[in-house]
Amino acid sequence: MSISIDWNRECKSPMFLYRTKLNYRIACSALLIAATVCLSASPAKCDDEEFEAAVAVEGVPGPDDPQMQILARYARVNCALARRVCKLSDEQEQQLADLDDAWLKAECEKLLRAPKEGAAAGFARMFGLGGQAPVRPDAQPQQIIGLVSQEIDKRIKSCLNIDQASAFNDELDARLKFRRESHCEVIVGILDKRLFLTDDQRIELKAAISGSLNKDVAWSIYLMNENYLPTLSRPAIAKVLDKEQLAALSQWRNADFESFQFEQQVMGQQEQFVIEK
Amino acid sequence: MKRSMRFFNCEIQRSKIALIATVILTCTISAARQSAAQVQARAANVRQDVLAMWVFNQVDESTFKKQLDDQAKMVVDRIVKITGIEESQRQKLLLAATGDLSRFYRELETVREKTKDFDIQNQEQMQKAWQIVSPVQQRVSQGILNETSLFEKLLEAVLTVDQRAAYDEYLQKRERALCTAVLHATIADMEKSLPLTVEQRTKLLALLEANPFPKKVQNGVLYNVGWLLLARLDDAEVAKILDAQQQKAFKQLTKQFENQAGGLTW
Repeated sequence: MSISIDWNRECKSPMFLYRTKLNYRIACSALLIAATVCLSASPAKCDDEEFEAAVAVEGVPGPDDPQMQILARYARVNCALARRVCKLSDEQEQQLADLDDAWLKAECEKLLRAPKEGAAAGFARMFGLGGQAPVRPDAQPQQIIGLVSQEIDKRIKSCLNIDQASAFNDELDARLKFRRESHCEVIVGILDKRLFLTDDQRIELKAAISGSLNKDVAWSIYLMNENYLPTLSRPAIAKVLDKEQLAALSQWRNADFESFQFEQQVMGQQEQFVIEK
Repeated sequence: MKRSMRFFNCEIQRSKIALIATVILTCTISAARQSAAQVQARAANVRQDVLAMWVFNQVDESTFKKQLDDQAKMVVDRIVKITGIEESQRQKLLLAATGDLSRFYRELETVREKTKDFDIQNQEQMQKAWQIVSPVQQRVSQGILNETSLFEKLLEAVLTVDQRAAYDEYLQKRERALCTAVLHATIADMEKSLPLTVEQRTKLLALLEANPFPKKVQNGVLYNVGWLLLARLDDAEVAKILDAQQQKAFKQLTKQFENQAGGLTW
């Protein structure tokens, strides 16, 4: 004898509906409990001085830190660029002179405690982190360098008048564009050695991979070891290469080496030559 | 009677579904077990074979060999397109390429034989293994059909004067494009220490373009070719582009590359 169940009847039965509602209520309660646990587990608000001090000591790079050296070099070079792009007054020169190691350190400290913006900040506030969530705990060194570098440029521009700031900005944009394009050219050159590109393919490939190379690529690493390539957009490349060339792409391993990693190691180990003024 | 038949049919349907579900479940479990066993076996092979670890580029040996074979065919096909060689010439080149690959595969076997008893957990042994494996690893990295290969020698013999000229022209254009790319990337790196305005950069690039480029650059010095070209610039010419502070920084940055020409063919 077998036991059969009438599923249609069972689905409409008051007992089934009750159980469904019950499950729904249990799920809601579980979600609520989880949210409460998250709230209680989130760090205390940053008005706790000890917590803030600990974060500041841990996060801010010291003067001999490679990160600080990279930032100091960036500041000096960009001030020197501003001098060459604009004719600066004594007062403007004095303002630029204030952009020293102490300013950089203060800027790092400020950024490490800066409120997060956007949706993430909204969630952070909801879970008790407030508007004073420090960046450092989840920030990578290159992120900090990127943020402080932006502040350096802002500071330099604030010392300039509108026309000067615009000219300086154009120079920065052109420099970045040249840098990105040169990285694409190197990657195309590496591909070319094995794929035998045509003249047209070289040009088209450079444009195709420019969208994939948003980071500051450590191009020399790829030249030293030609088994590696940065991660590139395959659909973009597929439009340029033929079937055989595309198949040959599988010989390379993908690895994203950034110049920051390379520079951090070199800083402090090799003598660094930077323009004086 | 009808009702009991309907009930009976329903029961049969349910039994069928249950049976199919059981079969699917059994197959899934068995497939999962099998694939887990395969993964373990593959992992064990990879652990034991240093060639798989350092040479095969994260693929199995047969895939690796197929990639090399396909690459060789592609090189021959590209040469056909560039030089317009005939089918008989093409066949000779393919034969030479196959010969080079066979020789390389025999080298792999020799390396495998030499390293088969090495323990991957033993650092000292792995260092010894690397010394044995690195030459073949470098050959893969630089291409099996390189200057010392039978393929290259045969290519010299097979191509007519015109075909050779067309091929040389292509290679030089490619070399020049790569050197230019490295030069641009080097200038971009230099600008992290020595700022240039757009105008200065344009003039510096024009000056470099006006100077000779090496015909051939060895792989080992390729990443330095930009600095080598910058270091060769005439001070007086540089002084026309850069101011005194910039010249000083330029001199400091390029000093170590002055009088270095190793690895470059002009």
